[in-house]
Amino acid sequence: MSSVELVGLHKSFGAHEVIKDINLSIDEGEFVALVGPSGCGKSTLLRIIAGLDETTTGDILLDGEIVNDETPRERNVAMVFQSYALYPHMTVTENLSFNLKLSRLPAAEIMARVAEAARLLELGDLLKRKPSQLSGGQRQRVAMGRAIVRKPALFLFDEPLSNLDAKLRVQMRSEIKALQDKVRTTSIYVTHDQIEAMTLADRIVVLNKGRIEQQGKPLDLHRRAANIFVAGFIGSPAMNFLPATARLSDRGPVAELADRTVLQIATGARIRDGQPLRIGLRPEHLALVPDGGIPARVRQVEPTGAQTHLHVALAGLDVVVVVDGGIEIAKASSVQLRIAPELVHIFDAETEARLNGDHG
Amino acid sequence: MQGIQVSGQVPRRTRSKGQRRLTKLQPYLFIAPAMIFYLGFLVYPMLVSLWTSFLDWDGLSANYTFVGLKNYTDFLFHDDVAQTALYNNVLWTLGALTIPTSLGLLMALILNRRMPGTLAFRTIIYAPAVLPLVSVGLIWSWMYNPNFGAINLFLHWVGLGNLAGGWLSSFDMAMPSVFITYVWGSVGLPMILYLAGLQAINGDYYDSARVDGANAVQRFRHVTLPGLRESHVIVLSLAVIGGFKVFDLIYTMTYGGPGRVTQVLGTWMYFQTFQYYHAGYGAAIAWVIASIILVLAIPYIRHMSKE
Ligand SMILES: Nc1ncnc2c1ncn2[C@@H]1O[C@H](COP(=O)(O)OP(=O)(O)OP(=O)(O)O)[C@@H](O)[C@H]1O
Ligand SMILES: [Mg+2]
Repeated sequence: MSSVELVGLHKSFGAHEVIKDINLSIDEGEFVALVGPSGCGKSTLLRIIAGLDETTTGDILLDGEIVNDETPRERNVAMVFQSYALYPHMTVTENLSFNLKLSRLPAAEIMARVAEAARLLELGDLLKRKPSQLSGGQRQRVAMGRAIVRKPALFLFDEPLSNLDAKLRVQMRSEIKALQDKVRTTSIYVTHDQIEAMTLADRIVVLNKGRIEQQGKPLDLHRRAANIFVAGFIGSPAMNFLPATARLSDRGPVAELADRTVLQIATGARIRDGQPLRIGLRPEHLALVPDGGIPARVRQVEPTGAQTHLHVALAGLDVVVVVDGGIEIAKASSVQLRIAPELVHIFDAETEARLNGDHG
Repeated sequence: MQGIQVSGQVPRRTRSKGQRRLTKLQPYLFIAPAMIFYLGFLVYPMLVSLWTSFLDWDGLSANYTFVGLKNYTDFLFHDDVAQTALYNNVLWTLGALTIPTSLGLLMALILNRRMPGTLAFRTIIYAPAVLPLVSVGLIWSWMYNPNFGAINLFLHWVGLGNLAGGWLSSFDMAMPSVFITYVWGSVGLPMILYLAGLQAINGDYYDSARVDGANAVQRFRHVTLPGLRESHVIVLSLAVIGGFKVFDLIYTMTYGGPGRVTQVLGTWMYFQTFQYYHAGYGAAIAWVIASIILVLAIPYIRHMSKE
């Protein structure tokens, strides 16, 4: 197992700079998720750590040693690809043992390791098959197995679940989590699915346009997103954003929405009177109240079973509210909404940075 | 319809007997034009030539005698030139299987990179493949010309004049010289086929192999070669088939000579039929060639139709 450190990493393809000054350190045994929108440089960063691509400038350290010039083999990393990249002409056993054979391990040791991985991942019946004879989930498992048999210093995953259907993805997600609890190898997991990141990772690193926007524990990011980008990226359904103006009244600070509706916000926010804001409301933090709340009209009702997503019109904008699935609400009905002042996220309209302090 | 309850009215079209017969015939009507051409211009001539191969006939007169399998037994047991030709074809095929194919693979590997100029090189190497072999043969005959040919001039110029000679008139050098011409004209096709094969290999396999610790040679052995399996089948089958069809180059460059050392089945068939007026014997040789190709091509055809 290794610790990983990235220092001042830059990567350009020609004139196009894809990775811009990434600094990151990952502890031994930590599971870090790299998330971000498509094209933000997640795969590129992973390939640089793996040794498949070179950095333009900056250093990669494994266990405190600079490994910039080392091959993936010397770095002792294992990688699971989005396409799985199982060798099509090899059986599952041959796929699993390919690396071990190249490392000239004794045959008995190879057999033992393959058997161990097959047991962990329940591949026993599939060992003689070719990848083309496997289902998507089985291929995924073989790809995981191929990484595990090597007992690498570092696991790298590049969107390993994105080729699976929704149900299988959830199942494999918990299998990965269980596996990680067993093997406890330092892992970097790339995904653009923030739920995967939230459920699996010890720490989430949010990338945007080649830069780190924020990193932290999953729930910390959820509760204290540093800016609008992170706030919008983490959480599902996504946070609602509304333009507002800060007002410092004698009843404490409030946010005035476009239609003059006023929303109480927590004291302690670093705001001045008249400052243009964007406020963020988590769909699950908005509650329906019988009266005394902010009036809104229901535009759309989306039942999902346990929960129902309401699209309501608030200050002329579409706002999503998550309510209990048991509540019956008709389209076009009027509701009253309330949100606790300390749950209102406040961002500067220009810098998009967070303005309010801690709450949770 | 037992056991199936259909509620409501299912509209049913009723058809007259004549209409039904027409529907049955329809597919055949559609393929009829192609079938007529196929039967008239392929199957019929083939049957005629098979019949001819059992005859002693000069190919022109109305008189012929049925001799059964005599042409075939003559070919196998009483014709030294046929033996030479068969030997040359086998040798040629072995050469065609190895030399232009491995050169083509090598060039494909070199040119399968994003480098400036690769497109130009691909075009240049493939260019001979679009020339008719007759022109290729003529061009190279001039180059091999003992007196003013480019090859001898070049040898003299670099001081290797003692190597210069009559390439195509030498008993030892004639066949290799023609074969070199063949290689020049035929590396393009395997190169293009291998290039297509290489480009179809998912780059993730290479990345995965690198992460698995495979060096360049191991990546070639475990990713590239298996990935080119389809291309191998096509390239090698085409080489075998081509090896028994050789005609143009020999005809234009050596005319089967000197003596008869460069005769191949294709030219010998031509000589027998059109020079010596042994149409029956020529037809028999044609069927020998066809049978060999068919036997060798069956794995290829089966492979292709399986896909
Ligand atoms: N080999 C390359 N040559 C040139 N540009 C590249 C190359 N590889 C990636 N890029 C560019 O770098 C940027 C980041 O690509 P990358 O694959 O790292 O994105 P990503 O975050 O993994 O996206 P996704 O979620 O879609 O996989 C993209 O704009 C892409 O076009
Ligand atoms: Mg990617």
